[in-house]
Amino acid sequence: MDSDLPLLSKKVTYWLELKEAWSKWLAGSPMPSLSREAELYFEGLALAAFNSGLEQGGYSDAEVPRMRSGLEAWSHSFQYLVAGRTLTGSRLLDDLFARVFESGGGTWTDLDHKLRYLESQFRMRIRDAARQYAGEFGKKSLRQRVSRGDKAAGNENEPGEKTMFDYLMSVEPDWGTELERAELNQIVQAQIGSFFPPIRLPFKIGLCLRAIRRGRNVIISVKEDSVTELAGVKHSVLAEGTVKSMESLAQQMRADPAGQQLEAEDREGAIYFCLQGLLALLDRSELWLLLAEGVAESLVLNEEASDRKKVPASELLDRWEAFAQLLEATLKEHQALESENELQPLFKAIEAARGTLCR
Amino acid sequence: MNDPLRLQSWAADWQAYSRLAATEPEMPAAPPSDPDTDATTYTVSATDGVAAALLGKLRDSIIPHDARRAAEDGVFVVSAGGSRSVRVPIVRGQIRHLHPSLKPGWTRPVYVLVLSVDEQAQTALAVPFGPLAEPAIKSELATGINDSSLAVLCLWNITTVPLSKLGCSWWITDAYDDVLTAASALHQALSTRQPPPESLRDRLGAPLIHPLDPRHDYLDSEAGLLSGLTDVA
Repeated sequence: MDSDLPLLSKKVTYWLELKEAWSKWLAGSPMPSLSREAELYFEGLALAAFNSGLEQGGYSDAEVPRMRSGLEAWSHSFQYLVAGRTLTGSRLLDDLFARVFESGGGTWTDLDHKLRYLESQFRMRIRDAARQYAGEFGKKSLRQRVSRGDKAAGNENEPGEKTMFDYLMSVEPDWGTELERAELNQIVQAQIGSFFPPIRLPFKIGLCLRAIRRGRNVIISVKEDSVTELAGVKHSVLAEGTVKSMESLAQQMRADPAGQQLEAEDREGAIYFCLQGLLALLDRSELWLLLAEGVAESLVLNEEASDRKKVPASELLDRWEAFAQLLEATLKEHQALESENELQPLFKAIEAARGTLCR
Repeated sequence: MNDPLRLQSWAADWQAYSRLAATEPEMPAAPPSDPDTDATTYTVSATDGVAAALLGKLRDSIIPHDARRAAEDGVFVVSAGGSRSVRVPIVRGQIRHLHPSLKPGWTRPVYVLVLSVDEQAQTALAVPFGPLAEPAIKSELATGINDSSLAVLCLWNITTVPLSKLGCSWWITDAYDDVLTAASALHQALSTRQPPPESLRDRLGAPLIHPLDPRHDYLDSEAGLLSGLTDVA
């Protein structure tokens, strides 16, 4: 640490220099030049972070050429962090400094840690500037990329002219004749009948939230405590598992003889078929919630779980109650309850299960 | 924004944004605590005096957030019960940069538009600005403000925030009437479950139809941005 002390002190002066220059710019003066040493320090930071932003953001060198010098990278960073943010650029450094310096100790070790943290935060801002730069340099069309949308559209291996994004905007719910739609609907219902029950409970909860989002235009976050506690998994796992469940259904539907035939003969029909399957899955999930099937299911699963994973049944019911209350409050707030009593079966099932525990 | 090309442009931006979020540089490990160091006052042992002084300089260079500045200036209001609180004038139309300590998990600066203030409840409706350049869904509004961090208002993520928390922020500017009127009209439509006003059609995102649309991932990541704000010293 001792040999680094002069460098640490110097770095502090560079940041203070930048902060002072920033303040002068805020006061209406042109941005003053920094000392050459400070410039070199910030140019070095900018070059690594800007090119890393382009790399990690998925832009190839051919699409968005990399910065060739620190000066170029710093100029672009400055352009996007300050000149492009004539209003919000004003407190950008205060935000960064506040994240780093407003707590903690005051030793050399602390200073070293805080400066590394500050550099790391600053690199994040520069990577974000790189993303915006890339966006303006030449927005990358999804036609060139294999996206989740393409996978869902079934053209992962043979990207055609249209991607799922085209279909997202254009699929009409009245595809085909009434008879054709009724036939497909029968197949869809049969698929869902076998596909839904084995889905893991946390992902059924995730699907319920998607169903509520789609059907009622109410967004409940997977990060809500009562959601993750009931699901028993991290929010990222919950979100990812929910998507994987839907992708798995989409795959199953494409493998269905009807799906294969449509894929070969009527691509719009194949997309329609897949979409109807996913919507039916969401409908089934919502029903599972509203009819309180999930309460009984979770109690049985908990009973069968290993001792390490098992929770007291009363605690499990507390989690259901907290989730139901969140649901009720949010749907009421958005006037999205279909009736005053819509959630009563859920609350009653929780109460009944408590009664059973007492006996 | 009912235009597939603009939706594609949104999607490309989101793809890059989420990839960068997934590879954020890790925070360096914190140093072990030093018994000689007092966290609040930087009272330190003599050998670390220079480091403490440097850290003090860095800390002193921070422009205090508005509530702290009001406290430093002695601007308080006294309630009927005799309790004293800092007074920060929070009014409809302000655009504020929230102090990062309000939610340590925030990985980017967070800006909000104050849509309305309830003096009696001491709360305000705050609408966060989104991280991307285009509105994603029908409840996001392109503001037309010439600042890339204020391009999109996320009405769907509107949150009631106590004024005491909202004061822990820096005032940035006041929104033009046009932005405020459009945001209010969209909020009104959303809260009464009416379709958005026709006049705003070109400033809103596209409808969300497909359950596997990547915009769901975006909504999952942004939802609850303003919930659970903590107290700031």
